[in-house]
Amino acid sequence: MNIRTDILLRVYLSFGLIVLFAIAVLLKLFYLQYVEGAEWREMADSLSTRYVDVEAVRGNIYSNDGSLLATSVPEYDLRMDLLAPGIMSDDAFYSKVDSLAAKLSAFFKDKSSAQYSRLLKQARKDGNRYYLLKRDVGHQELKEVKEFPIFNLGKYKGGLIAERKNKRILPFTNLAARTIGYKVATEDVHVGLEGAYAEYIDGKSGKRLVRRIAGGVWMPVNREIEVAPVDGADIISTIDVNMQDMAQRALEKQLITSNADNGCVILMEVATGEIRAVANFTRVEEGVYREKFNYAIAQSAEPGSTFKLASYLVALDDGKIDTNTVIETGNGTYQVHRHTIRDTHAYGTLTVKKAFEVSSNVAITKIINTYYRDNPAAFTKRLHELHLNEPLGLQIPGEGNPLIKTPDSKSWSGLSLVQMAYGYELKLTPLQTLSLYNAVANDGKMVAPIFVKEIRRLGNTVEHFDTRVINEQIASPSTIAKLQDMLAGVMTEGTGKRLRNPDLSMAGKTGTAQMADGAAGYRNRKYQSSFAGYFPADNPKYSMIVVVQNPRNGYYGASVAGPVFRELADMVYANDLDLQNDFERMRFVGNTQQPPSLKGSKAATLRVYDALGIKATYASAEPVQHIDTVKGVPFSDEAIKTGVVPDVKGMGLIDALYALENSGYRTTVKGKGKVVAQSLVAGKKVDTGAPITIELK
Amino acid sequence: MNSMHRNRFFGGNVDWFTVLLWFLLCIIGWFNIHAAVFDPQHPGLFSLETNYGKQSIYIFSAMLIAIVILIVDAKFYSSFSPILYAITILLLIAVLIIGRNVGGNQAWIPIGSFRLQPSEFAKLATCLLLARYLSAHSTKTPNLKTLIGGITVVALPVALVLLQPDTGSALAFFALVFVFYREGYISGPWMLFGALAIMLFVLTLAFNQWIVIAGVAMTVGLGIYYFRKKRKIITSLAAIFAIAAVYVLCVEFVYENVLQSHQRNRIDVILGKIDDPRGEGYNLNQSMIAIGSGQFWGKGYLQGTQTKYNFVPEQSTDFIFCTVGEEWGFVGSMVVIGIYLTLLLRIVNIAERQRTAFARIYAYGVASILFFHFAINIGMTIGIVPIIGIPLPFISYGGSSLWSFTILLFIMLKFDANRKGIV
Repeated sequence: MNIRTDILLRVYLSFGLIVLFAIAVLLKLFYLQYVEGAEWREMADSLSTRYVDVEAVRGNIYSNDGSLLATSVPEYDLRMDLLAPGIMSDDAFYSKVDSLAAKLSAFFKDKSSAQYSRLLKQARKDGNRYYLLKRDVGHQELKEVKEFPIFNLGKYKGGLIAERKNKRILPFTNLAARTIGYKVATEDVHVGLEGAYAEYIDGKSGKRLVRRIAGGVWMPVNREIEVAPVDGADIISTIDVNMQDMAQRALEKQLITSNADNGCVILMEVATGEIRAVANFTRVEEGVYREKFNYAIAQSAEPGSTFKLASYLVALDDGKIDTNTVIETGNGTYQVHRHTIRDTHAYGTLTVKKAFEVSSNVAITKIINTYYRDNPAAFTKRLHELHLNEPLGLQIPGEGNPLIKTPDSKSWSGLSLVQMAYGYELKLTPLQTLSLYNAVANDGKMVAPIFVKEIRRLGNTVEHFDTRVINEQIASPSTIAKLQDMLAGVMTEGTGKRLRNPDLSMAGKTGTAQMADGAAGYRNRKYQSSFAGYFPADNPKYSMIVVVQNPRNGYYGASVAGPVFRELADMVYANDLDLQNDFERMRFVGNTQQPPSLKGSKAATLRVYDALGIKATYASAEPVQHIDTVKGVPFSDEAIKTGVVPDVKGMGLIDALYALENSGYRTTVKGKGKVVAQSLVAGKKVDTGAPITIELK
Repeated sequence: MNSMHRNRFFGGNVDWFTVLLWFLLCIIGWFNIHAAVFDPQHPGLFSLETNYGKQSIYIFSAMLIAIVILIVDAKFYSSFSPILYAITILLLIAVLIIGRNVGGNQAWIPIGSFRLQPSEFAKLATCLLLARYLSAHSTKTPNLKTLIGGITVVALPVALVLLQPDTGSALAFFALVFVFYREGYISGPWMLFGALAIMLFVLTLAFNQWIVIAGVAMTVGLGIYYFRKKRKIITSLAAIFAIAAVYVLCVEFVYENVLQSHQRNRIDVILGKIDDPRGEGYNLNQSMIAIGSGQFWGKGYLQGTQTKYNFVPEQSTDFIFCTVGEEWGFVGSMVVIGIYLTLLLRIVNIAERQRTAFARIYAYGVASILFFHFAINIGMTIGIVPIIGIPLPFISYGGSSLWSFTILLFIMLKFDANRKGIV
């Protein structure tokens, strides 16, 4: 090949390549525009307009007394279009970005001005048209942010994009939070009432046609929303804010005192089954409890002694025994199939009533074993007739399933009958147990607990929930009367004696159950302390159950769960004038709580007590639980000794100075109010004349 | 003397047909920029607040520049090419130090309200110096030493542009490989070898490396079977296979470890490995929607919706062809491509009729660079090559690019007009 043809070849190749490429381009273009054209055109339309959901305003949740328990407030995610028309030119942007950064930094206080400035400039470099500035900004904050430099250029030019969303808030924060419900972010589900009534509360999203405009921002096409959202309905719950608050405080205090794993308390109105309070706490660390799990409705466990009520109900109603039937409990042990059932004491000979009051395990197991050993199905059939084997069908999800065995059950054994007699080998949730007690309080009428009374939309009732009767009469009226008498007896003569309030008659039953703990079974000696009952005993208005699991300080139902019952009953009683039929007599309501009394001059303190008609007594050495303020407010003397540092914390300045000077110390005072700190430790021997500093607040 | 002067400038020697093509492209560009960044508040084509208003000034000044270039003695360009080259190199260094960073590339030197992009002018200076260098050695047979010298001339600005880092502009220099090919520095088999290398490169990225190696093995196997009697060929085929296999593995390695993630993503989108219309594939998808929705006749001037509402990023610069496709449809696109094709073929034609090696080599350089821009730019908007941010010559918005391409073209026209004289 000579050079000439070689060059020519090369030139033709160059020509050819250019032409070839042009042809390739044209082919692809033809394909794009002519063959696929319609498809692309469609995509262009679908990409430039679309329907977006318009979030409906969710309904509120109200308490029984009309307080707002859950509501929605608007909240915004702030984003910025760094290439908005107002800051298109570099001059406009860079001249103001630093002052914007300074403002943002001062306002949100989450990043320094320099950080904001750097981030904004970087976002600008990246050409970010949707830069996230800040999440969850309130409406008021948004108004202020709109006035910042650059943003104040206007809605379109300033580049500020505020995306509205509805934030759910619980005005009473953690008050019955689990029952009211909230969204579990990780699972995208609502728990509690929020979840159960989502279809009412959520409302229906509307639709709005939006069109994409410069900068990838979606703008509504029409002024009006095409499909208007339907706002959610309001839920009127049965929860009473005050009772709920009291329940939570009483329970939390006792959980901390007894250092328990968890606990719950349910307060229910006897006649209607309306739940007035439901509190649940789980221990997260020593002394700290949070509402994490709805034990009240979900935790299906062996109830222990509180279940004896059902056993006695069956035996009494079947006419096997009467309240004065005599049972021999001997030395407090009872042998069944090489299994020994024990009482805490040897009670000897007991009547049925007394056996119930002292919660004798031997008595009830002996009764049930004696009368139902030959036909255990008769016993379990009665329990099924009490509907204890069925869930209550609550209005909120997550109810634990009860378990009442029958002789047909696979796990039925020779021991099952006696075990069931005193509350083992069966499972009930606290609420299920409560519904039985409530039925006894309600003269035999068993009603389903309800959490929601009404659903309202724009003030009009959409749906009203009436009390649902599960069983019109669970036992004969005479049996019920006997049981009521026995339950009241527990409080006057039996295990609940020390919970007695002379002004408020109560009826109830203690329960101390050993908890099966996984593989370890019952060996770990974990207890479930419970107390179920109602008040006032003669004309029940409220029923209540308290369950505390694995308390570390004490475990008897009367000493762990009982005080919560007593305290909440006291407080409900104190706040409910209807209950106080003898109001005139009341000058001071008994309380297991010692009212705060500060240190000070004895003479002055006694004078104040006298003026208020409060009996002042010397403090007993008994633990707090045993103090009954009805007997008077305890106080103690503290003598002042020279050369020993007195405890002046809590005193006012005059009293503190008096005490310190008399002990012989030179006092320096800081602040005003009550003494909160002292520089020398109280009770320590320090030479007189030493300086001491006290801080008042 | 007088007639000489006239001949040099206004004489029939100027290739008016090329000038016409150039002018058409400028005007098409201007109208499409108008459509792309149309601002209802400043609808006029000459509103100086807008990019189309500015472009009108750039076009007008480009004409003045063209006239000046045609007036200046042709000798100037060859004699001063080393100096021009040196200035450009200095500017490329300067831009790294004092340059303005826009969109991640340190490519612009701000001069008042105008931003100079030295890499655009570097193409011109490199073309000139390369032409001078190769022409000075054109009497000898092409040899490796000259080739290395020529490559050095190109490599220096490429290295500096890569530092910015502006991969797109740097790639444009590789178009000059055609110049070396035309001048006989690279032989046909090598070009074929290069083409095969590129093909393997693309195949490796598009498919699994092992599949590609298997494919090569099969091809080589067939070859070995066909030439089973010829031991020598079998040996070289085996060697080729070994080289190819290593190469494929290297490509995979470079792709996974050297390329930055956004570059990888762009390649993946083109190869259809990922379908991501809202992420990396956004530009391409929007661009294809714009062009595709234009269909046969287009939506009409200023009627495009995709390009009007900033759907397509960089729509007045790198993605200007979208506007053409959307508003003028297949017919309009065909016209634009036709004009480019005619222009390119005309330039090759002009190159071949030059009497001096300098002018010929330079013209080839011009053709190569324009072809590369044209191919890559239009190719990327319709999804047949990866997205590389380079402008469409004469049409994309921007003074630097318009002027540098104009200068590039008109120096060639000056040489052509002067071809009967002595350069």
